[in-house]
Amino acid sequence: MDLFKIFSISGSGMAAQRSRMSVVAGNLANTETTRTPDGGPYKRRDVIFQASPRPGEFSGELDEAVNAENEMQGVEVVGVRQSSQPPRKIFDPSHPDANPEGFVSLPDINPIEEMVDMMSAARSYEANLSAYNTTKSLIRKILDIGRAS
Amino acid sequence: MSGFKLFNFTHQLLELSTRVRAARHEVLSANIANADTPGYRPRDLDFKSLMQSALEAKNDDLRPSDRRVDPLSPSAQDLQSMVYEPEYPDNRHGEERLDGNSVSLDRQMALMTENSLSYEASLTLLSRALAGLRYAIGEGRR
Repeated sequence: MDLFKIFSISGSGMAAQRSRMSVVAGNLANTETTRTPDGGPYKRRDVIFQASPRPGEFSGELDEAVNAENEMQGVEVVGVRQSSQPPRKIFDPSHPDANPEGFVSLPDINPIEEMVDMMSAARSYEANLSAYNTTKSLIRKILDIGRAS
Repeated sequence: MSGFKLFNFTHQLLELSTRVRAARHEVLSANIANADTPGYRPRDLDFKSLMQSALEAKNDDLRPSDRRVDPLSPSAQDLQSMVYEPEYPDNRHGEERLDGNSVSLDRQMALMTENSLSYEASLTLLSRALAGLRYAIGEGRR
């Protein structure tokens, strides 16, 4: 347990929230996208978070094996999941991607849901940032001890 | 002045206090990083019982080498083994979300603020104690 390791924990939190933010931005940008390289409309994407131990800079393999379950954990994006929700269909025969019946398949993305997700990501990012800054000020404080008063 | 030591129990206790506070800060940071991880449960470090056992150790006559864990300077592993999952009273009232995560960001931030202020308090006291020593070493000259 050393203070410098906490930077990597909070950093992993910020990185994870940032990738969540970029996935949300992608979803918002593609609410009306009907063509993708895989064919068909865009599918809503979602990040998967997983707690993952942050090995300290000098911690040995043995320590990690012994204390694996009590190791302080950062967070990691282990994957991006594509939604399996069926696309919503809109009747628009003039659309170039309309099917013979005149229906266009649009991605099933609810912008309100995405906005909420985005705000939640931003708040979590801020929380990690303030944890990071607190760590920084703790380290500053400890350096002040050696300073002659 | 028999038994006088340059660094006495106060220093040891303050050092322990800052170490435990720093370790707790790490635990709380990990909780905040995992505020959106499905199934994650917040953890905490029991400051009170660690300090309590250090105080009790002062009053018994065991030497540090007689103990498995030296309460005045526990190793990082010893501290890590004191991490537990607290049962917050409102876990029962739906603090746990549908994805099994029960981190309350507000609570963790509040705990972190409290913890870092206590850390600074310990550090301030420690530097006062050290300033006293310095004053004595300098024969009272400033």
